[in-house]
Amino acid sequence: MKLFHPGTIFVERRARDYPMAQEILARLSDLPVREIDSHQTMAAQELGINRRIAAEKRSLILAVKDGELVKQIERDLFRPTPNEYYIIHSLGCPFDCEYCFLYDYLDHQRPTIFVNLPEVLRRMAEIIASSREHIHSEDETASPTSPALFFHAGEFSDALAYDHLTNLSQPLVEFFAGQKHARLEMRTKSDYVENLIGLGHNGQTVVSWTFNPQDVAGRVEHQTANLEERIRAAQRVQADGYWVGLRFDPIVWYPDWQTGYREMVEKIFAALNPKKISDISLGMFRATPGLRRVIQHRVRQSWLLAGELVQCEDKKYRYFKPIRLEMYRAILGWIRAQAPEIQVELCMEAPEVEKLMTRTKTETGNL
Amino acid sequence: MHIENIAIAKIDLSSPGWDDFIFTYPLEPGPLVESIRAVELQQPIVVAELDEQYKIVIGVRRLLACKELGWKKISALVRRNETRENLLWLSLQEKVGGRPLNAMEKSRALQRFAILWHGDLERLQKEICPRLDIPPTIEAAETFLFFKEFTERHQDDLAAGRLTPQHAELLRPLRPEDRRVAAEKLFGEHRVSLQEAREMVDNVSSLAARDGVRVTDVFERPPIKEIFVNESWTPRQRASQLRTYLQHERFPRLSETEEKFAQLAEPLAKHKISVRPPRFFEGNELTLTLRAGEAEEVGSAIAAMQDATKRGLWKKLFALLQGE
Repeated sequence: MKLFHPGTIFVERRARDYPMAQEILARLSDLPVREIDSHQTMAAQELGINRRIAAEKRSLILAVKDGELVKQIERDLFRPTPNEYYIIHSLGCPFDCEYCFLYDYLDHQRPTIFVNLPEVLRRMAEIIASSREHIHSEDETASPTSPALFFHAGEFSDALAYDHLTNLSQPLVEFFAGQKHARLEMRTKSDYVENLIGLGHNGQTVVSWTFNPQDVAGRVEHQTANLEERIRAAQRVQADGYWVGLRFDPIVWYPDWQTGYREMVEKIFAALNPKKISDISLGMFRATPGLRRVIQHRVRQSWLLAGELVQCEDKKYRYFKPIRLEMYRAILGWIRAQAPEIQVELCMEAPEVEKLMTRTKTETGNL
Repeated sequence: MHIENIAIAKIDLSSPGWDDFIFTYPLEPGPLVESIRAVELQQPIVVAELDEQYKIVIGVRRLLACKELGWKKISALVRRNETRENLLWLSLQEKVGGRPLNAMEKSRALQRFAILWHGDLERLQKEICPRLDIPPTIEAAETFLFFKEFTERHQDDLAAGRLTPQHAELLRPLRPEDRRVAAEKLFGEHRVSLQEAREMVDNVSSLAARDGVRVTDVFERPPIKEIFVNESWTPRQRASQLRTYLQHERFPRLSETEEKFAQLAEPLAKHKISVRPPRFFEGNELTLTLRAGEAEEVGSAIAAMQDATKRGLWKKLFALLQGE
């Protein structure tokens, strides 16, 4: 995978003196730097959505995050996640996954790194401290799949896409190494794990990869590591003692999906140690009407829109329910053939689909 | 500024960029020729003197009409030492002050300013879109700019209002060669609503993606060809047939489930009981509607529902709802 190297840097005036900004600017000292007032009004003035996005993704913004730095997760309306938070360390992403919700969420797609990391760490410490009184004694044995508190990096950007510039993983992993009841998930499609190797993580960090068959990744997940590279990176961090999470999300329907996903599952389990896989989540491709429109305009005859997409109750487009169920059941079956006991969950699904899938629950209450 | 009598031959009408300040579409002078022949030219044209030549700024149809009439000279207001931007503004002000601009003229006005301002979308949105009665959004501006990629025939259709900008916009995600065929087949002589058009374009495009073929290939399929050669159908019926075919092909599993559901629920219809699944079978509740005009009908409907229970009909309907 080619590491992100922007063509231009924009720096918010107030961000310039932060140590992280100084370090990034030193690493990219060959690039032109322009000072700006705010990262929020930086849409490129290019005609054509593809040219606009390409122009925006060639730059990098260093900014200071105002407002909430750590947010409670509300992403799954169907299943409350009161003890889960995401860390807003960056916004936008140098990768270009055609299905990314950010295309319908952000005003512009310029990769933006927030340099006020100390404030993020401080805020996380406050949340953990204030939660301590609610943590029961049984949480002492919290497993990687059910810690008392879970913090996610990689919600509004890939968690490792900038790590060669920021070395963000080091302070985060070291912070969580000292936490008894809180864990970190770094979710990525990168294969850059150099900064993770050798850190004293104390088992408190889960590095999770989004996986798709190479047929899909090659078509719709641009600039990311390919399937083999992601598997190799996951192997490396497992060998260094980390837990690895598998995110099969979004699962994309395409004519040969059975072969693609079966081979992918087999490949992953042939390479990784199932005992060091924390959990697996399955999520079907979904798109808001806005994202669907962006995909239509960006990609002619996109695979993403080739399946039987229907509008669901939450207005998002998903594959027709029997197709979703068929795909979940098939993929779950291939996973279970390799690892009968691994925790598997669905995400962003309708309650009735969750219910239908739980009919296949194992004795441990797992899917 | 004086009115001058200038040689028509000195007005550039052929070099690339001769129409840099012109938005008029179509250019043919049409009835103006006869009008000028009858009453002469009542209003001078406006030209700009640039590089020892004149460039037409206002009155291109009048100029072409006079040329067609064989005139050698034409009365014109000559603008000298004006910036290109000023000339473009002059042309625009004159144009929007007159008759309403058609979609192609709006498109051309945007194009000219987009070139002048090196594609500065923000300025186009703020300064030009409102004057052209185009919503001041990136999407709307890009829609109108995109019309230049259309074939001449479709540009004519847009200018004449036979193709609406909203319909044309739907063709944008298609390949240029697919747009022509799609426009002909989907919005040809049959005037489909915007919603129908959107559905058909989405379906044909997704079908092509799924099957790994071009949109043009989809239209070559025998059932579609059959729709277009069947002369007993009206354009409206043809559009309806095409829409149904595309929907069925695009959503085979959904169509199959809908058909099964309708088949199962059909015996209840004669007892005035309608059973409906949630939209696209998302959700887990059926909607039952019972209509009755007298007490006996209620009794008969209840008996029919009990009979359906005995025959396991409800279970079958719920099974479909659950994706079984």
